[in-house]
Amino acid sequence: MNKLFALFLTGSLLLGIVAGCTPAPAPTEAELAPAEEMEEPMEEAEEPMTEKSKVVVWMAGDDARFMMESDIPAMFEEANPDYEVEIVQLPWDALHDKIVASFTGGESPSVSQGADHWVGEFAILGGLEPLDDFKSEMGYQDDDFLPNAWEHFRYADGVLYAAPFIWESRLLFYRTDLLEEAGFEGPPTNFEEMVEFGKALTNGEDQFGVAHQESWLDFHFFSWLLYAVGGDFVNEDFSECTLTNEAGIEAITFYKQLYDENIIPKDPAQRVETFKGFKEGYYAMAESGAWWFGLLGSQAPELEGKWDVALLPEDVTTITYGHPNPWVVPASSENKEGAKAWMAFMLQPEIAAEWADFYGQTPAIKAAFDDPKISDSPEQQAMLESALRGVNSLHNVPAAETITEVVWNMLAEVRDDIKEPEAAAEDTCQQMNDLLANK
Amino acid sequence: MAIRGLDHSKRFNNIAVQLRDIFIWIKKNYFIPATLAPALIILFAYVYYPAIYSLFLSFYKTRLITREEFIGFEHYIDIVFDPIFRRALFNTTIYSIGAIVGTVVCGLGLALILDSPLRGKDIFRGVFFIPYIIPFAAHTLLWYWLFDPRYGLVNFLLGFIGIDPVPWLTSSHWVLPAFILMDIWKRFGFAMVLFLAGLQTIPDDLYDAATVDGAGELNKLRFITLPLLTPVTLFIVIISFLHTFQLFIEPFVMTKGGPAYASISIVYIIYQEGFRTLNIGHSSAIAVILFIVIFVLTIALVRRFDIEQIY
Repeated sequence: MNKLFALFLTGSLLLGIVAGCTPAPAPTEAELAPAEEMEEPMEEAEEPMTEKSKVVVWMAGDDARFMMESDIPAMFEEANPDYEVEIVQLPWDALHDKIVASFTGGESPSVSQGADHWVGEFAILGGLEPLDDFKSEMGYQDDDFLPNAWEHFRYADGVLYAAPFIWESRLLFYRTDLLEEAGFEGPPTNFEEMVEFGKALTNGEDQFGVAHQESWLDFHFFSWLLYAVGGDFVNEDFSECTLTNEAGIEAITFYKQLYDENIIPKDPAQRVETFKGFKEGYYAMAESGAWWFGLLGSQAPELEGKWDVALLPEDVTTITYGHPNPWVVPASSENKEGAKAWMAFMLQPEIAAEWADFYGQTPAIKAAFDDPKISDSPEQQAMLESALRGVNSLHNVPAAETITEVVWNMLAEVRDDIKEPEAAAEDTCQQMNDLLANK
Repeated sequence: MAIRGLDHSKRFNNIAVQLRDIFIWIKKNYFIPATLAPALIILFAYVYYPAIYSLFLSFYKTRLITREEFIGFEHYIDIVFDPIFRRALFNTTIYSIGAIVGTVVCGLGLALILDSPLRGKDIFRGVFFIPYIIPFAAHTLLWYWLFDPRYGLVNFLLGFIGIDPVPWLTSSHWVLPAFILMDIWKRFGFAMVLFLAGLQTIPDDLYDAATVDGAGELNKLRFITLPLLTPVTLFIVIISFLHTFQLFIEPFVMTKGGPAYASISIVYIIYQEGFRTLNIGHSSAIAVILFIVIFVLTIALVRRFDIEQIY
């Protein structure tokens, strides 16, 4: 028995090795024939194409789930009978990593959803298909889209690497009941009022004026403060950190002031999860995005009539944090035509409105806001108004994810009095400049 | 004809003998490699080759996994002078020491209690072991909510004994103790089981002799139990050390290395450099440093616990 087993194993291994080392069979005469000679028989053998071309679409988290549950994939297949679509769901972190891995390992999707700040780092790696031709072939005009919806994705090399999918803006969510109790008729409209309202709405124990945010949400919160005071994270050609300039220091100082005056809880033990805090009236105001409309509807129906949204308070500019989120086509995509068909379909105003109505995400194309499905939606119209006031975000830079982490760690150092704003900005810029130089 | 038939039979016998010799030769020389081959091929493809390739990459400026320019030890020099890396090394070391000490002390204490005659001790053993089999991601998310400063169970319970809410994950002072607590909770059951097994191997004669000599319980613990548990302790310490020095899931899921880098760890930086900054060469260099640190400290630990000398 042992002998037989040994023989079997050895034989299998040797066979495997032999099979691996065996050269491919020599091409037949027919295979060696010039292409011209093959044309005729090929044409004769050709049958009507019955197999559909598959468009593989990678999407993140709930976006993918809602897309699968919506009628949109079926509508796409009906409008494009040559294609069938497969939606693949991935968590946001995994989506980023899988796209990067696909640049070297293959197995790319036809098209993928992305975050706006990924486009720069993907472009540097040469992993994305340029979309200038797609934009011009389809006749898309910048004026038909929300401001900067396309140009946001034009990298420093002058090439357009992504197409807009949805729009992300931030609004001020506030508890109308708490503001009324404190004697305010409406929300704050500028930074001075925000401080005034915030102080009045804070008792330091179980109610605070403005919500604390964690990690990347804190980065978005600070982005709004920075853009509103006229600052930016990087200079115009995205090559140098600008947090150490006057506006940068002013924004960091204002951020710290909100904590120092306990408008946002100074004591870490009093910082609670943002949505839950808002729901329970622990936080009277919070900066957040469109996904809160769904959360408030599903998880806090008892708050109906007790909350509202407004444009974020402004300072010297009305610019806040916001950006389009893109579709990207990997350079290694095996179905670029299918990818373009999918993007073109999703950019139709009625489809963008359908998606907004079904899931709540804001369209990037203006005509969608006139569609009856969302023309009466106060939430979508508020997002439109916010977008039209002007938005900005950290984009077109390498290592944007890491820069985001560097900034939110700086914010923690400042609010917890580990560093003064100037020193924190100096250290952060040093790290950011290394990352921007792709060191 | 008869002679020809004999020839055939002889030839057949010769072939059979030759075949048998070949089988024996194959068995002698190839059986072990053949049976090991599948495992070795997988190990080489997924462990050794990537490890060796990452060593190469650490000397190069890279574009994803492609080597672009040989830069010698530049990555290593950058890492040594990088304050974030030093912070990560400090955090990882503190976490590792705290978690190992806590796990050993709690595991040993419980094992001693459960080794004594106690009603329902089998149930306790099972209950204490459960945290060890909870998946890491679930364990981390569970604690994320338990640690919530206002709505979490931990602060709620502390409130009963008059302790103010602790900002477990939102304060740079508390985040590492929170991670240590989580790790002890997850692993002390595993240590307890190993210590219990170790306690079974200590002969009762030794305790009887010590009793006759007038030794108290404390002296028995100090001079008999603890020395004879040294091999088990060494095993637990090394396993825990290897595990804790690869701290990643907690900072990745709960804090993203914050607040203010208070929970950043070496493996988190490796991930960040590799998959976020996409600087694979730099990331590989940190991985090589981590390997050296773990290797050297493991050797030091083994030498520190000189088992032969104890026996």
